[in-house]
Amino acid sequence: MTFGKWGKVAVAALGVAALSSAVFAQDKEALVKNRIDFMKGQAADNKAIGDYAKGMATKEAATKAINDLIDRSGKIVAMFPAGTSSTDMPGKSNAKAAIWTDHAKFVEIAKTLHDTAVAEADVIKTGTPEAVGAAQANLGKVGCGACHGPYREKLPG
Amino acid sequence: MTTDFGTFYPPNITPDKVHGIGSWTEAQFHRALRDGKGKDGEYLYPAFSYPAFTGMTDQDISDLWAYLKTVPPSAQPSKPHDLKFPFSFRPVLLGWQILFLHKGPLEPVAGKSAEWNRGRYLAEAVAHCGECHSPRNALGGIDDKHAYAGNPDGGDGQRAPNISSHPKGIGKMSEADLAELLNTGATPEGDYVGGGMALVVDGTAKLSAADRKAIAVYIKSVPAQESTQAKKPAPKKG
Repeated sequence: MTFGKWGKVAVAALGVAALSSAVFAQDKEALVKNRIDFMKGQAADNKAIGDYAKGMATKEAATKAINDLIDRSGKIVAMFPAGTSSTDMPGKSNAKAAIWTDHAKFVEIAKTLHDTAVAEADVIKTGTPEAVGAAQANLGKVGCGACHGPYREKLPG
Repeated sequence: MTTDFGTFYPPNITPDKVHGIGSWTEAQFHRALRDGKGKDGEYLYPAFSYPAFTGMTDQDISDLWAYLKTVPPSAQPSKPHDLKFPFSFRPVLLGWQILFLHKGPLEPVAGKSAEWNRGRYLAEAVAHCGECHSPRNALGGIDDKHAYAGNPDGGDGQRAPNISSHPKGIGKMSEADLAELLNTGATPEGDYVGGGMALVVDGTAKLSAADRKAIAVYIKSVPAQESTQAKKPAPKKG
């Protein structure tokens, strides 16, 4: 079997497409891993603030954590490009497809997390550790927990 | 709630006299929770967690009845369940109840502390933790031998995790960690629960700290169980 000029072009194009697809798949896997690490960073911030509320960490540590959380919360939406759901990447991604089918709500919760974290920074600055504990519990509910219910797939345990 | 038996729709339990339970008597309410029977004596489906609520004390059931009477009535009609035959035929539930309904109230276990018994009562009867976190057999009964080992098909349509003392369950959490989770939804790692468990935490956050600790003491005493695995799809024939 021989290929004409356009046949060779088509084969080359298919090869490039397959290579691009493989590279993109690798990119997506790296992106999802980075996203999971990013979320673990947020959890570490939450823990540091919670530890301060319980008298187990310094105010400086809590201040550093809330500033990091504010910064991260502004980046969340961009961490979820289309094509990286658990449907697209079963066993690797735990982001439900609902993030993209119900995107406005997802964006709204991310904004709530950001706004709540900004308000909590003031509580850490001027409030008691008990007040910080209450503010953090609220942030966990309206920010983190509000997103984890509808948008995070539980992976097999 | 979608199950292997069909789809269950939670009924109206506001005090509306037509569409809710406003025309029920307190005795009928007690019978529903204790015996799994409806207003006219019909068998109730265990999607309503009476196999757990049966363990409640008479006083707590009466208190619950008193509270429900204060909820604003809603005239929204209840949607009928959509079940497969024979499950749509309520009398088959008699057999189910003989097999799986262990009528209460829950009696304290001798030799265990008051705190442990309080935690057991709250976890088993009131908060009905095992209804979601335990695997079920083919008839929909709780697999008591593997209680709290998790359920791949939890009540909110998601996996309800293993909450036994197994390392893949909550073996690494302390009683204080678990009590904190029941108060704020936070895990020791700084993660937060979502879905059905977030709704549970809405309720447990209103308990006293002593009651949350009692639940933690009891749950932490549950022996380690391997996590329940999801059912594998049947192999294709041919």
